[in-house]
Amino acid sequence: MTQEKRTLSDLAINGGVSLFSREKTENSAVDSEKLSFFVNKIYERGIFTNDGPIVRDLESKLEKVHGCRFCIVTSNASIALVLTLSAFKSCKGDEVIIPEIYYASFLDIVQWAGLKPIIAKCCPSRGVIETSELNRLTTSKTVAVLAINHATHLCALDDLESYSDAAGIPVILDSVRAFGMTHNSRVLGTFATAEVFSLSSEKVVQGAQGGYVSTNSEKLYFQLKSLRNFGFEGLHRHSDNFGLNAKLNEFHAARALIGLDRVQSQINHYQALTVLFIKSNCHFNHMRFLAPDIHINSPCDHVFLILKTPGGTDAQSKLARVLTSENIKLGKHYLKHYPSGCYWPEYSVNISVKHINDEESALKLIKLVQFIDKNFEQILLNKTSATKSIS
Amino acid sequence: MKQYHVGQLNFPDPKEVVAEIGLAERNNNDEPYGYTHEFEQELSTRLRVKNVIAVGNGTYALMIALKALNLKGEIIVPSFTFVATIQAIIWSGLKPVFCDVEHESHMISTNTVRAKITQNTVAVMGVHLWGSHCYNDDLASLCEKHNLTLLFDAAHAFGSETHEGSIAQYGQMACYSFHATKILNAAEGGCIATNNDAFAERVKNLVYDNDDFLNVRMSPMQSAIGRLSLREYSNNAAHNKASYFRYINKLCECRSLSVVECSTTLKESNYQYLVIEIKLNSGFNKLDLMKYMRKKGILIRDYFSPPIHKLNFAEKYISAEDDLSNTDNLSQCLVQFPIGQKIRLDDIDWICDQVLSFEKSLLTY
Repeated sequence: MTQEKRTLSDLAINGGVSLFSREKTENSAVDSEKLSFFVNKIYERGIFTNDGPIVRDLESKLEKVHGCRFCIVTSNASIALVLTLSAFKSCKGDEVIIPEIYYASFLDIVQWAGLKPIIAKCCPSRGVIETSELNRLTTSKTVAVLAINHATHLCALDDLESYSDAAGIPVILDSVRAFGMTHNSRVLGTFATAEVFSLSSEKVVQGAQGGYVSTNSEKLYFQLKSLRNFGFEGLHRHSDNFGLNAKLNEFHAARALIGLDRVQSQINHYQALTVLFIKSNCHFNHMRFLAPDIHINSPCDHVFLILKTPGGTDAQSKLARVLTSENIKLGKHYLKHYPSGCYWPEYSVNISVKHINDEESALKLIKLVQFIDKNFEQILLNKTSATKSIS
Repeated sequence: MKQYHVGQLNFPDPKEVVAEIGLAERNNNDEPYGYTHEFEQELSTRLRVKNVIAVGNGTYALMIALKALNLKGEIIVPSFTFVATIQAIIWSGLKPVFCDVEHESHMISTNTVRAKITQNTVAVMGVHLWGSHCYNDDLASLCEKHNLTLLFDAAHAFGSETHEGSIAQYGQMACYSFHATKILNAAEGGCIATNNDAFAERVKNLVYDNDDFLNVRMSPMQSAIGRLSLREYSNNAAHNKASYFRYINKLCECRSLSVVECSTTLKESNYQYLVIEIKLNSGFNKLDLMKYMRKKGILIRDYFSPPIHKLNFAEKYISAEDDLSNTDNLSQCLVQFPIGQKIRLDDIDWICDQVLSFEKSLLTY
């Protein structure tokens, strides 16, 4: 059976054969030889977790990558954000300014940290907070600003730095989608008071799970080391400090080290594929692939397909369902319409490039998008079959 | 010098670990969290409980369980516990109210809990210690009478069973830990076990379906290590049991200390902790004993010292009238000795000989 789409009934959502097999879109398998090397090390030392030597090795390598003084790895990126925010909780106040364009878990993260989110309007064209808005919202109760570096462009880093210096308010950057990105030729990791990155299997480093904070602040480094380990300090198993278990275990650290070794070649590969996507834009009427800012060295592990034709969230959802049924892996955050916030880009789907992963597949995807684009109005109207297939 | 650690350190075969991790990651691609769900099923069977939800560590298990209960107010909890129990309560926005423990069992009882119930109390969190348990019908009735949720931190008690069945069935839920030092080891890890389907659904929703929530999921890698460890559970528990009785037999000659014995209501225990209680006025000093043993490479540890209510961050949850005298006394006289797969029976003989020598040196002096 052919996978090429000639008529609407060839779409998998209408009963046709999926363009990609599940195997094709699976996560990159771990190199078992490299994993064995680390597992043997773990067994020799008898240390599975608790700030072990592989964790320390990973932290030291990440410090070199980012050119920062300290990296502190944690069991995941969301808990890294919680701990970093909670480090700034003080008796003076509990307000954190966050952009109105946020990831799904942002409100929850701020609340777990025991803080109160103050939502800032974003500049409509770039989806980032501007200094005038920060100044408007800053009060004596403001303890931090949490800003986002998007997958395709960065927040206003220079403005945030100036604001932070002038107001004396720490700025924390959510850089989970921005590994390897640069600003003025400097790799991210040393902008703002602290930056948080992800080591999840879905991100470019392709660890098993995990996150980390990069910072040049020695005080914050020791605070976070203690916070991630029940408030313990050094080898002492009790402490007067508050904390929780946010430790990365040695196996997850090993997986991240394996991923880190090949991350640059992976980024180069994704960037080359992204060029193919962007070049194909001239063939489409209703949608386009969003080009990342060329100055920031985006890892391009996700590509955003933007709807140019108005169709709202229904069109966005329909497009997402059509692509998913072809076994194309989509980023979750952009599938849901959020009642209290909005996403940038507003009507887009977020395709995980690592699940496409070679030129042949990229060209197949482009051809599919071309077919969808050509028949887009009919696809939007064809509610019955799409709904049926999804159910 | 050979070192003898406390903590289980039950490591599955490394080659099997690598192969199983590969399998877990492939399976998870076919079905998101599919491999972890299989592990949850196996845990559910082992714990004889309807629902198990695996998470990244034992602290997350407590935090998510409390979040899913959606409670606001005070929760009665012993101060004689690991710091994670109390921290999870505070992270979840609840106020811990410390109650004392019984000197014999080291755990809460109906009496110690009753004294702390106020109109602000919304729950009671018991902590099952040393592979034993603190549930009884009177405690459940007391909670029911006052409309309080009863739940348990069961980090020490994986696999423990009473004559009525698994301890996982007690209360609204039990939260377990699969830290590397536990008998079931997933490097880090934990789970929430419950027979309440509606509550399980709320937990599953927070863990698996809710993008708005913290990421607390157990990774395929952790699930792989945990599954291998679960397969070895019975052998490891049997080894611990033999070690436990060896300690009892060897240390019965010692007049200054005794092995803390499992509750008689238990049918099965994991025997993952070997706790020694130093007798009051025996002349034995805990710190001297620890120093002496450490010099021999026997890395014994005191538990739980200082108790939580003596820590700075917990000060605001305690008042001058609170009587936690049993907790204070126990924190002065309990030490944990090495047990687990790395500790052979002849190691135990040697360790016990060192304890007896120490006692003899004190008596001679």
